[in-house]
Amino acid sequence: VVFNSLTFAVFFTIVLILHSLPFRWTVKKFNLLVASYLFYAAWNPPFVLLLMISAAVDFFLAKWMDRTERASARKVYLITSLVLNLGLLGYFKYGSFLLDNFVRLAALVGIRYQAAAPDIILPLGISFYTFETISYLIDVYRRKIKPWNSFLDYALFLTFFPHLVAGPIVRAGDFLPQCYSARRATAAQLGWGLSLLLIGLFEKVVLADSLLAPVADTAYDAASRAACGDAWIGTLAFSGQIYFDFAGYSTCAIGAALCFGFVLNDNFHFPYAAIGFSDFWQRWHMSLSRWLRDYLYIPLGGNRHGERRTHVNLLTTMLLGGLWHGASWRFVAWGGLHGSYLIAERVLRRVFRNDAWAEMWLLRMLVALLTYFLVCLSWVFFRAKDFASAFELLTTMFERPLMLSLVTRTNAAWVLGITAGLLLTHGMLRNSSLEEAVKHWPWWFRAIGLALLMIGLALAPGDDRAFIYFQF
Amino acid sequence: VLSSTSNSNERLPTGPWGRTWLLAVCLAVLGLGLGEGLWRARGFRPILRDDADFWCWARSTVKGHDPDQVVLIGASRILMDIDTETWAECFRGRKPVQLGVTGSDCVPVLYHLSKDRTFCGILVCDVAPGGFFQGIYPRSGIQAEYVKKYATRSALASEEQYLRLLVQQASVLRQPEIDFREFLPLLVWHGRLPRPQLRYNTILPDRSVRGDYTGIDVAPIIERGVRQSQTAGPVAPEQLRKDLSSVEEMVTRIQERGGEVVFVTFPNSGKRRAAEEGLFPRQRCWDILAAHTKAITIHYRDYPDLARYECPDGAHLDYHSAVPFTKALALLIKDKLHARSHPRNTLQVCGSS
Repeated sequence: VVFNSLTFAVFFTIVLILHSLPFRWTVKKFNLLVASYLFYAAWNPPFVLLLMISAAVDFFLAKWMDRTERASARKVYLITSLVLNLGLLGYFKYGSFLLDNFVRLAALVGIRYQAAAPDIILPLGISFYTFETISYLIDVYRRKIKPWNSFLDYALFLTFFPHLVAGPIVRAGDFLPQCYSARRATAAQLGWGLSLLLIGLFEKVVLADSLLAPVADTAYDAASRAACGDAWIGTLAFSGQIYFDFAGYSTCAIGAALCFGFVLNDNFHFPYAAIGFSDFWQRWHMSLSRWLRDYLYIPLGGNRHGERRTHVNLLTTMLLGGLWHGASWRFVAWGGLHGSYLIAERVLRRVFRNDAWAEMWLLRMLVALLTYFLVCLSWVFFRAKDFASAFELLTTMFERPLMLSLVTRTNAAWVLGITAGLLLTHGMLRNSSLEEAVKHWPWWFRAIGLALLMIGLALAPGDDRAFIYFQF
Repeated sequence: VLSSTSNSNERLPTGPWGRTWLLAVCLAVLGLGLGEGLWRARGFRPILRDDADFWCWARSTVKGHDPDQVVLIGASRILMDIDTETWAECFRGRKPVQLGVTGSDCVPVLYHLSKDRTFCGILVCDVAPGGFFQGIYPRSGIQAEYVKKYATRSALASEEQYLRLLVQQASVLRQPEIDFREFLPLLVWHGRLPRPQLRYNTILPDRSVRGDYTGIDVAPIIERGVRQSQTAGPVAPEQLRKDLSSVEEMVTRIQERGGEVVFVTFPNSGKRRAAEEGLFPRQRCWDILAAHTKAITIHYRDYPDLARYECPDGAHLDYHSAVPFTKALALLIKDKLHARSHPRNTLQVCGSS
């Protein structure tokens, strides 16, 4: 069951009706937990066990950790959890990658070793729920939060179906207190929650899948035959596709949770209007950036040990952040590129920190466009099939003449139109929010907007594509 | 700027949401209803989409451990030439499962079902010379993609496909010819909307295809088919023997479980037949397969009851011919199974005891 399916519509309606019936709060939470396990089992039933084991182990480790005052024992519990969670993540997500690299390394030193293909299935959402459970254990270890007493609440925190498979990465401290008292959506929460669900679906089904993905595929699947225009249009298409795909999923998740009265934090905030890369990472996949900052960058020393060490910490964080996205050196390169951007920005900020002209709006706009341009270049490594086609496309982008050979003019017009609309919307709302804009619309205008979104969804050709972040 | 811990609930737009949603749904229903009417008035009708999900749904209906299960695999000829209703009348009311895929060959699905230890039914394979004798690739091509998708489909994929079929059957807006990516630019730049194409192949809910060439100019279809037939020809004899040995391993696996495999060459006519027979001479292709395999083999030209039909486009039967052709083929297969004293000789085939 995924948000962009008919079975989800049926599932969501049933669960919503069940949640609105006059059961006790504990029963309602139990219903949500069972529904979340069913949601997950709809993909691959056996992996529900993995989810249950992960929840049970960390719940009890956190309790035992809290019972002891001995620092060494607390550390043992933490390390046990980290080894278990990262071990599972490592096995399922990086097993094949590590083996492949080992074989290549062995070949480099003259050892011919042919390993059997491990054929490991990646459990859906493992990167997300592993990070959620790790953050809980670390927060208990740091005594930032107390271990939660109810296993039902903890299991629901980890499993709650809106955020289960592709985030946002929820923190225990944000979610668990919401389990204390009965939650039922107010009329405004339900109305806006359903609107967010619809907006997210429109972003995914119409913009990402129907209009942008086929163009990105055309350019990237035949990188060797792409002309300069194809490379640019394909890359702009992918930059839009990945935003609408992932932000669309997050919007659906936030909206679906709100329909049950649960609040999830923002995950995207108009990132393509970012002025610089630290700004970009405060707007793109905010729950991951926040996680990497709190549990990786700061423990590495953050910016507390001089400029050079700060740069090393930044680069390490972004390289690992890149690897989190997938078991491939291309993602590491993508992370490395962003790490380098962040370091370069830091150096430039030190040089120009006292210059008044750095605050001029025209310059800020140019920096925002430069940021978008450099982000687009980094997406080439994210989307390309391999390094060879990534470099091929990057080279093609700077060749002349600017012409199209693979992408049709109609598709190019769609991509340019959507990109312009995307940048304009992000620019206009970068210091505001969608909610602020909608607040000023009369009710009938909102209704027209929602009706258009529904018609758009009904007319979408229905190309069946999984959410990109499902593979992470 | 919002913080990383801000949320939508803090900024919740208030207002009469009940009224808003009611109006939105009414407007959407009205808009879609008008669209539906407009497209239907232009001659469009709902059609089903034959894609990987539809194939996976059909595959999921293949029952394991069922010796009476009949599965049809191959390309467009088996999709159009077999009338599944007629087949069902012949085989105790049981329809065959239609797993043919247009523009492909049967080997990847033959391989897939041979590896499925629960499959012990009758597998009818459409041997289109263009694919089968040009080198076999059990793990590549469109059918292999479908097989891969089947292995990784979600537990609710069948229910999802069932709902999709309901929507596709009910609404003209879901049909592929009405694609807003195509008609919006056409409308904006040329001020017109598309007209429906005259279709000769209608996809039915069991995935079989009904051919109806009434009013169709078949000459361009025949020419296209002849052009497509102008390929490299069969592989070298040594390679063919290797390929057939691989195929035979698949056949043997199914037969060892009590199943049966039937290779069939379906009718072709006119220029298309001349082109195919010129490029893939029977004695260098089909006869070698027939001599090499333990499976049942049926070449339509060997049986007058199968050979008396003309293919309007040179390669497929229309639905008028598909009905008697299916009866004749079903009878023949039953006879062949009887001749082998096959355990499945209890099958009640049409007109015979």
